[in-house]
Amino acid sequence: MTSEALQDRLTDLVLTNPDVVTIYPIRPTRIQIASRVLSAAAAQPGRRPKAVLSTTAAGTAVEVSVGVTGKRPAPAVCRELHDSIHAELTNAHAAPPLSITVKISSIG
Amino acid sequence: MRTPTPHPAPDAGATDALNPENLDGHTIEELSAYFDAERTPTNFSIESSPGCQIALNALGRLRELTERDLETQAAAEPAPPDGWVQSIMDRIALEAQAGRGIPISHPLPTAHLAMSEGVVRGLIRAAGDSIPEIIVGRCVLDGDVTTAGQPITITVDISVAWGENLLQAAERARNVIHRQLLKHTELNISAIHITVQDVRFARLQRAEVDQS
Amino acid sequence: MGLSARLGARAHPDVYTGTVTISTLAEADDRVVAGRAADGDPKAFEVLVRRYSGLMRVYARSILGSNDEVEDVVQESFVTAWKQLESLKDPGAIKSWLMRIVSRRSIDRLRRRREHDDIDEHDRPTREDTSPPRIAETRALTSALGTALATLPPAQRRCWLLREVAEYSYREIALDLEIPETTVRGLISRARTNIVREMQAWR
Repeated sequence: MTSEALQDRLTDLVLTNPDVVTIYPIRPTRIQIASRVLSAAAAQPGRRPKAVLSTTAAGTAVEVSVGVTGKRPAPAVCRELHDSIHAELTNAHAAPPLSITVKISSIG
Repeated sequence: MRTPTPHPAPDAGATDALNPENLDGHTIEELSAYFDAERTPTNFSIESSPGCQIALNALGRLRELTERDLETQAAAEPAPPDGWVQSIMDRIALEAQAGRGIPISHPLPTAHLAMSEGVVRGLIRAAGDSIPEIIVGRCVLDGDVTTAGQPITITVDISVAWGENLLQAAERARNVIHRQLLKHTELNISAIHITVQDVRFARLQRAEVDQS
Repeated sequence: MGLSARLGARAHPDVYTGTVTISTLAEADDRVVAGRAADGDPKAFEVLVRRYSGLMRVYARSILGSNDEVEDVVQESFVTAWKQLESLKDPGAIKSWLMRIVSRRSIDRLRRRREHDDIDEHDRPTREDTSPPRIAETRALTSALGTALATLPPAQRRCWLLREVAEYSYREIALDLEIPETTVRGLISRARTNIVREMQAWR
């Protein structure tokens, strides 16, 4: 699997978690305001925020920022997301050491 | 064209009040500075001079007048157009108020899991707001939230609608906030202090004029 | 639909606007509203914008005169305020805190305008003190006080506004205007005497 494909796979994995509402950009970019603001998190085809995968000689890192529903406790959802990403990386034989960063950016 | 609302000028003789000849050897500049220093430390020569007292009173009236004048001018300003307010809101929309990162535990060393302080404050706000007579103000998390297990003290300002029992409202707020924090964080909460900051007058009809 | 209403958890990470409407928030006092805004609630900040833009416009206008720059300066001030709001120690003091921001911006704008106009920015205060009043700059205030202010030499008016409206200390005024503290003291004193005299004459 290519990095691109793996990244997409991880993104889909996160989004299919029933408690995940959305994925946010890791570092929001400042976009010039015209008449209405286009938030960097707004859905634009081909430009939706993703789980970010980086593969370097130092290992494989994944970083994702999510909003959760709040139905289940956020820490549990957060751990679950880590575990599913971890499983997927292992399946794809990603180079260790692995580092998986999951940030809860909104609840409810 | 709006005609100016007449404001009473300082009393007749106010200019006499500030006449240097009446100040028992003190100068207007001295009194002006003393006035701004809120008359401390006490200057007994000034305080025992009738002429100086008259001058200080005149300065006090000028200040009151100034405050009233400014409020009147401000109130006479047309309300800011929605478009103007909206452009400010648009511009600030991308500035996050995240605060410190609060760790979430996981047995594996591969895991770096966290939630921002901003999210926790939002939880507290939402919890308090869910009680109809309460509006949550400032929330402060005291203690090292970035290290797991450290004791954290939460202080929350709330505003309670007039007529409600303040103690009961504070208790309800504390319980709801505590429940939410227990559910969604791993913080070691040693205390939750609720401070009632304001007793506001709620409207009889809580009409939803806002879009949300 | 306004952006602040659309800004729920979905569009804006790390901020939760809660279930309280703006009209309800508008009933709460400064400390609650400003505290909430400092925590990141945009609705609370919007309440502050509507609550204080009038006063800030009055103040900016008294320094800059009636022109397009006033709207700009007030808007810029609010954007700055949002960014710095977390550092506000006492949310109850939001009003004077906002006035300080708009004051700094107004004076900066005035300086830039003067440099552009090639007017001698560095008039020694004693000279400026006796120079003809710039009535055109401060015609905005229509009260007796406003008219009296308009007759003041600029240095006196500026010091007085910083003291009375923005609640600066003498030392802060001195630092801001880059003049000695003793000069500030004299200018404020003369401003007060002149205002009282002008208002008497106006009666």
